[in-house]
Amino acid sequence: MATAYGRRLCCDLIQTHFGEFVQKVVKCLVYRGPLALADIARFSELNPSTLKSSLLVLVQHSCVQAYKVEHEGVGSAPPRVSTSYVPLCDNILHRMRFPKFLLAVREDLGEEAESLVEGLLEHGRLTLEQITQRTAAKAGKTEAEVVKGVKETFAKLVAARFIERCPAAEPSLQPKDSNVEPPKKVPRGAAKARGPILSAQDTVSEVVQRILKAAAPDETDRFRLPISMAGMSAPIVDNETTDPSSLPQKRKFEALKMDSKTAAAVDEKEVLWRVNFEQFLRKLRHQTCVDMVRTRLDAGAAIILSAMLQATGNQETSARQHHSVPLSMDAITQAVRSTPDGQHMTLERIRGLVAQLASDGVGFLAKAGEGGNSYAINMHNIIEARQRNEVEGIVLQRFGRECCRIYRLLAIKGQLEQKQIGERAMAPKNVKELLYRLLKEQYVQVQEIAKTSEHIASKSIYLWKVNYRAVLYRVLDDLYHAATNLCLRHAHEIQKEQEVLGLVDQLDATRDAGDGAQVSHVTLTSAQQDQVKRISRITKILDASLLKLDDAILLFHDF
Amino acid sequence: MAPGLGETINKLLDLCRAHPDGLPQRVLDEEIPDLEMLSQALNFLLSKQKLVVFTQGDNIVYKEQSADVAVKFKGLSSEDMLVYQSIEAAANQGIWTADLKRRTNLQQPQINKALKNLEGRSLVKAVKTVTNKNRKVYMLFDLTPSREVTGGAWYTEQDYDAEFVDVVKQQCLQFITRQGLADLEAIADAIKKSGITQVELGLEEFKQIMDTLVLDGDVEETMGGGTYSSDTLCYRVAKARIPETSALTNVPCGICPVLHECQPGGLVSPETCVYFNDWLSF
Repeated sequence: MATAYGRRLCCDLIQTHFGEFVQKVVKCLVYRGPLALADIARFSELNPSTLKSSLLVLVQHSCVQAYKVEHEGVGSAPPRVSTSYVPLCDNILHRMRFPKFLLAVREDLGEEAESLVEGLLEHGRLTLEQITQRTAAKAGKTEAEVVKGVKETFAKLVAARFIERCPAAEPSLQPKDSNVEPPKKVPRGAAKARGPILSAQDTVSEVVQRILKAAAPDETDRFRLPISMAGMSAPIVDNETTDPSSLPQKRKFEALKMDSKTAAAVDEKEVLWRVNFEQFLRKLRHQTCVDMVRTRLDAGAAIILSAMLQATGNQETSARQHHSVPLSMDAITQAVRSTPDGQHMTLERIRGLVAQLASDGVGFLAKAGEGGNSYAINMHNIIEARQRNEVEGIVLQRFGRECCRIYRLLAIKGQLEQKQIGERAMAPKNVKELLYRLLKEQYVQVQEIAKTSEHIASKSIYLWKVNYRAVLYRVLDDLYHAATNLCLRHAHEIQKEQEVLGLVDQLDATRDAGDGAQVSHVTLTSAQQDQVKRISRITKILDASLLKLDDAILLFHDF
Repeated sequence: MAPGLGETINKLLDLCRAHPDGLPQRVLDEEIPDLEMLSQALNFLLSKQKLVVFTQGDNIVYKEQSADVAVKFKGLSSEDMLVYQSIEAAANQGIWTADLKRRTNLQQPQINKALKNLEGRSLVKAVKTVTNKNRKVYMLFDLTPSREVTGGAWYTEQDYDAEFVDVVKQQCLQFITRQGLADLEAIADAIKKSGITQVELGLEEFKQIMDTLVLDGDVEETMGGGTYSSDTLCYRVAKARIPETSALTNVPCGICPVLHECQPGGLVSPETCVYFNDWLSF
């Protein structure tokens, strides 16, 4: 679900990260959907070599995915294959969460892992050899000195699924699947209902999902360590199942037939690795779940949930897992006892908390398995509860207590007339105004039920309701809009203070070069110093707010 | 007076007294076969307001007017009576003069005159309604206006008393916070005893208050618990409040009234936004 401002934010992010040309390419793709190279050239009006390198940058950073489509031949002409490019908006948006990802990996695996992931984020995709080189260069040591440490960290990261092998560069999409490109035409008049039309966008993202699925290596391959690290004994020949259409894989496959030493070298030098965003999202999602349970219930319940998530996390198959795999009561107890916070919990207490989590009004755990003594985490419910909570908070802050009351009333009761709303929300005086404010921002909808064919207003019934899906869309779009605005404002402030910032750079440069021996010939006036202070403060505020906003975007878009 | 009319009238009144629940037309037809005489007698009694006519289902029944009531109506014209009966039919909902006009088919001056007469005799009264502030409705003098007319306990002088509602809400919330868990009756009792209000509040009103507290996210409903049996609806302070802050509303855009007109280079733009200026330079 990419909203109008979501797309805009994508373009802005690319603009700040990669500059003008790359942004043009992304803009074409984001607004027009999947395109072939020639079309991108036409729409972006870039010269071929710039366009190619821009696209390469985007592919390198997993912001764009190429795929092949087979067209049926017309008449006697043979079927031809064309390559199209599709933007991966989610991955582009992930670019603003890199600090969060780095923090997460540091918490889990320490600073070396963080710096390794940082390298991958910075370069998009790297081979193991390149990673080693980079680490050595950074530490000022030779490759041989660091290689052991790097490999250890690398193995840890792969085991935790934080990094993965890159997907196929150019998977092919079956022609009959790909004819969704022009989104289905909405019949005239059918779309008269107020609120955004969601279906058209959804089909495009469906295509993206299918392409990604086609590109992804299968689960075991995805997190398989390079041969040199996995040990030579592992059977390597059953690789024949891999998708032969993908070029790097094929090359590797051929390589494997050579002696194992060359194979290992190829594995290190040619197989590209990248950061597995999915795993980071999963981690953040789990955190959100635990936080939600803590505020909704208590710290004890949060400990239980966190232990359960840890125990089941590895078996999750999608980023938006609905339910976890079920755990028996014994397994839960064991998991809880193995965490530092839960090791002294009595069996009774654990049982009580589990029952509380699974109770009807809460529904965070679902009974599963035979006899109903196993429990699965209903992550979907937890996330949804959190989303509702956030939406209500936004309504409360934005429209005030009475509007929030009306919003909740309508969300619970479905459809009501104005008079009923006034009575039940105890705001009979200004209910009309409050409803209008909510309507204007599309948080509620109104439905006319005409009793006469002439649609006479005084004889019609007007029912008010909350269309939760539309509200979610509204909130997400506003979040993107706000984030875009923050970025733009930041860029604007930086530009405004260009002069003084240039001076600061100059100062830094002389200080670095001169060792303080040379007296620097540039100094800042106090006014300029104030300017620098101001800009750094503004940057802090904007950056911090952006990270917070992004938490909410994650909640509404990715979880 | 025609001969025999007095006799018929007396017979009619006797029959009425013999049927305290109302004298049906059917009985009347049997007892007084002379239609001419009967209709004259009926007309005479009705014009003197000694007799009233009702309809019970499809039947017409007659009743003798009691003596003290008869006195009240003495000297009222038939128009006055028509107006009175229309008002009476409206019961404690009251009736608006425009509706009276439609109902009675009388001219406005006639209605005004009738209303003046009736009000002068304290037979009817005018009541202001909350739904239409400048509209008066008429109802019988001794009736208490219905909730629809007065707006119920939350209205003081036809005005919704938001402050009063707030005070009661705060009291309820405080009581629940102190008690931990309470059912509706306990809350109602406590508030009544606290003496914060002279207004008579019923359980219904307290239920209304509690419902809004639930909607505000301050209180949550639960079945039973504590000393209450498991099928009583109880209230306790909500654990998960509606968050007081959110990431979106913490930035100016989240509460910006012109967010939808905002775009780079536009009349409203993030670069020139005054809300941003204030926010970034606090």
